[in-house]
Order: sequence, then structure tokens, then C-alpha cells
Amino acid sequence: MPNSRPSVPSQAKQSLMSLLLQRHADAARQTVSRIRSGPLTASLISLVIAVAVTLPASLLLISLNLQTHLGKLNETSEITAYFPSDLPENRLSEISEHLHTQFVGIEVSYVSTALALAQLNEVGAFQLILDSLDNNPLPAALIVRTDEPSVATARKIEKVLLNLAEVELVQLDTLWLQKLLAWLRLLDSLTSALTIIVVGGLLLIIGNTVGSSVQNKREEIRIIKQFGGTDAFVRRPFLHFGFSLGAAGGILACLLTAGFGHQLGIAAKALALLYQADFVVVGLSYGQNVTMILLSASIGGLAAFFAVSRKIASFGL
Amino acid sequence: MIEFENVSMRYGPGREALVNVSFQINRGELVFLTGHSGAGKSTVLRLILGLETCSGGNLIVRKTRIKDLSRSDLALHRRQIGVVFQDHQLLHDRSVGDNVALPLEIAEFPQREVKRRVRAALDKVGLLHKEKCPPDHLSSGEQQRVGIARAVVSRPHVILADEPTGNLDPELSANIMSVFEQFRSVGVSILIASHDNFLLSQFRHRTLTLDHGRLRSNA
Ligand SMILES: Nc1ncnc2c1ncn2[C@@H]1O[C@H](COP(=O)(O)OP(=O)(O)OP(=O)(O)O)[C@@H](O)[C@H]1O
Ligand SMILES: [Mg+2]
Repeated sequence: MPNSRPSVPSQAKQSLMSLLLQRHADAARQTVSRIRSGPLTASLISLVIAVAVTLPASLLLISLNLQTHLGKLNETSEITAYFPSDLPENRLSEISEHLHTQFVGIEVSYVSTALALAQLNEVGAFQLILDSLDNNPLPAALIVRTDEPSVATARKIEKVLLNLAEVELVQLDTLWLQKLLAWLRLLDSLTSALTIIVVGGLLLIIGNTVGSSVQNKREEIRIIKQFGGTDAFVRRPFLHFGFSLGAAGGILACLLTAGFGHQLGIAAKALALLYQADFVVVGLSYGQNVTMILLSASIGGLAAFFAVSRKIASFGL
Repeated sequence: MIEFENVSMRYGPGREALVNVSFQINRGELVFLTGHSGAGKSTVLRLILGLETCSGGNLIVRKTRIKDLSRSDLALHRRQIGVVFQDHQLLHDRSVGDNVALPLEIAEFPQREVKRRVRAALDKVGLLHKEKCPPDHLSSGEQQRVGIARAVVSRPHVILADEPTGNLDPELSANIMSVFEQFRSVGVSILIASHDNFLLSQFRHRTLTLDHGRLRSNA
């Protein structure tokens, strides 16, 4: 017997929280059954994602370790920034203060154009040349010394200085440091380029996997639509599927990157013996690992979203 | 509840499926829709569901023109309708119980309520013992009854049934008709498309007769 008057299906009967929980529990259940129906495909795809993500992550690991450790080989580092000779002195002290607020343990000294000239005059050989000039051609300069040698800090200071509009030239005291920083810059742009390629690749791989999964469920989707399923309802389990693939790939990538770091550590130890220094390879931080997983999972969700939307539109339901 | 005003529908140029069809079905009314094969019975049901749009005239269900519904409102509209398809349309990768649960899951009923209602609906069509079976292990008549359970499980305002007794013997047909009768008595509007003369003569209800897409009689 129908209990009463036909009732409108109502979401108001349960709280929003339990509704959301139920939605996601349902979708998760479907994801599990989808993975169970094709465990090989799902794990292969996750592995491909993991390898792809590991590439830029390993480059990042190398770059971070170079920055933290190579600096220890050097004594204090010194960075000189040159400014036009007509720059007002109070602007230079402003810049100096700005540097002090951003970095601790640095020492900033100011070489005015007059002082520079005086210093040159002391070197007798230049006397004649300098006397023949009408005005002082020397630029004003700021010299920044760091208490603790760190390539990373040197890089940051260099960057801040280069960003100033007035600066004409930034010079590092040692050639090897300059070269190292140039290499690090190259490594970083390589990492960025690779990251873009990997993100694009992931969008394609996950989009394609989810797309064929949608194709296989075409009949089911048609029936769901006939019973009033919304686009969001149809999309949800596939979004979970894409998200899970991305997350699984991200987790595997963390493990792979950690393994790579371990190998790098063994190689570094041999190198350290030669230099009679001591450097330990530091792995990615907890936060960096979590970011990697979340990023990979979000890319998975995004790829799935586009794939399902495109497929559903192509079904014309 | 359901109102056809000079509705025409064609599936393509020169393929007229319905021509100037007008009728009304009130709340709590059970109406038969009959006619030869290809007369346009299934098309009438598809139009009410919004699976097709009419090429002429007006189709109004529960005071709204189907044509005016947005994509998401159309989904909500379909949730108010329980439908039995001529070709069952069951999902073969899930159990009978899960098939019946589909409309409730779409409407996001709480899990406990879903279980309770699914069992009640299966009980009505005499298939409670098949809840865990895959639909492929059922006879055609049993599959049809699963479709009927799925149509009534959400207690819709409107029930559309396309040849619901096509594969059933007279006794089972009478059972199913009594299920529909129960829903009618609480105010549900029901439209049953059938060319089963036995059914039509045994249960006396208003009958719409289609002939090559035209409404020939309404009595
Ligand atoms: N998808 C379609 N594309 C083109 N023509 C169609 C389509 N569906 C139905 N038709 C045509 O529309 C007309 C009405 O079809 P409909 O399915 O409504 O008939 P019916 O009365 O349900 O027949 P039956 O009793 O055999 O189920 C038929 O001439 C059919 O050929
Ligand atoms: Mg038909």
C-alpha cells in the first residue's frame, strides 16, 4: 500500500552535512568498484602519473639541495649593486633599510661616488686618468655582506636588488658563485618548463582514461538521465575517479622522489669525502609532499571534469 | 495534471509521429493509451518525460510547459514521474535491488530510506526474494516487474507505463493493475500504453486510441 499521498522526493529530510557525506560515500563506492573492475588499468595509469610527477619533483629536490649545501663551501659572500652616480643618497639609505627589513644577519655598506673616487686616487696609477676627467664617472654602490654563507640567501638578495628600478648592475664577489647561480636559474627554468609539460600530459592521460570510462557507461548515463539525474549527479563519480587517479599518482610520486633523494644522498656522500665537507641530501618537506599530492589530485579532478562534460555533451542527452 | 493541446511531433522531415493530439489526464485518473504498432504511443510518453520536444502545440504537465523547462528543471520534472519502459532498460551491472534504488539515489534519499522503500516496492511486485540477483538471471516478465517496482519506488505524481503487462500472464497482469490502482486512489495520474486487448476489456478505464499519430477516440 502506498503509505500516504505521493511525496515529493526531498533533500530537506536530511541535513546538508549528511547529504554531502552520502554523495561522496556513494561516489567513492563507485570509484572503488570501477577500479576493481579494471585494477590493471587504474594502477598502470597511476604509475604513469607518478613517473611524470617525479621528474620535476626530482629537479626541484636537486635545486633545493644545491642551494642549501653548496653555500657552505664558501666563506662569506658579498654582493655589490651599482647605481647611477646622480642617485640621491637618501634613496640609497632607503634601499639599505629595505634590505635590512627583509634579511637578518646582513651588513650593508654604502660607497658614495666621492668615496669611490678617493679610494681610486689612493691607487697611484689611476691619478693621471682621473685628473683628466671633468666630473666623477664612478657609480654609487651598495655592498651587502651576509654573515652566514648561503647560496639561497645570496640568490634572494640578488633578486631583490635586480628588481629595483634604479640598479644598473649586480655583481657577486666570486665567479664560482655567479656561475652556480646561473646554473640554478637554468635548473629552475627547466623545472618550470617540465612542470608545464607534465601538467599538460596529466590532463591528457587522466582526461582520456576518464573519457573512455564515461564512454563505457553511456547506457547507464542515458538511463540515469531518463530518471531525472542532473549533469552534476552524472559527473560526480567520474570526478572522484579522476581525483583518485591523480592522488594515487601523487602519493606514488612522493615515494619515488624520496627514493631518488636517497640515491642522491649516497652519491653525495662519496662527493663529500673528496671535498672533505659534510653534506646530507635533504628530501622534500612534509608540506611539499602534501602540495604535490593535492596538486596531482586537483589536476586529476580538473581533467575528469572536462572529459565528462565533453562526453556528456557529445551524447546529446 | 497532463494536458496535450494540438500536439504534433515529427522525428524528421516527413516522419510525422503525432498530429494535432489533444487530451487531458486529471489528478487521480488512470487512462489507457492504445493503437496499432507504430501509432505513436511510446512517443506520447517520451514527450511527457521531455525526452523529445513537440514540434507543434502545447504540452503542459503539472502547470508547466515542458518546452520552457531549463536543463536542471527538466531533471527535476523527470523525478516526479515514474516510468516503465517498453524494453525494461535495466542496468545489467548491478543487482535488482540497486536497479530499483536508482530513482531514489538520483533524488538523494537517505540510505536507510532507500533500503526500506526498495524492499517495499519489490514486495509489491512479488520479487522481494530476487533483490540480490543480477537482472540477467530473471525472466522477461520478472524484469518487467523490476521496471514497475523502479517506477513506483519514489512515489511519483505521475506514472507512465509502456506495455507494462506485455510479458505477464493474466494473473500477474491483474496484480500489477492492482498496484497501479492503489497509486491512483491516492491521487497519482497514470497513463498506460498497451495494445493488450484483454487488459483493456477487463479493466474499464478511459481509453485514448491513436491511429497513425492521430487521436481517433477518447472514451
Ligand atoms: N527515434 C525515432 N526516429 C525516427 N522515427 C521514430 C523514432 N521512434 C519512433 N519513430 C517512428 O514514430 C512512429 C511512432 O512510434 P512509437 O514508438 O511511438 O510507436 P508505438 O505506438 O509505441 O509502437 P509499438 O506499439 O510498436 O511500441 C513510428 O512510425 C516510428 O517508426
Ligand atoms: Mg512503443
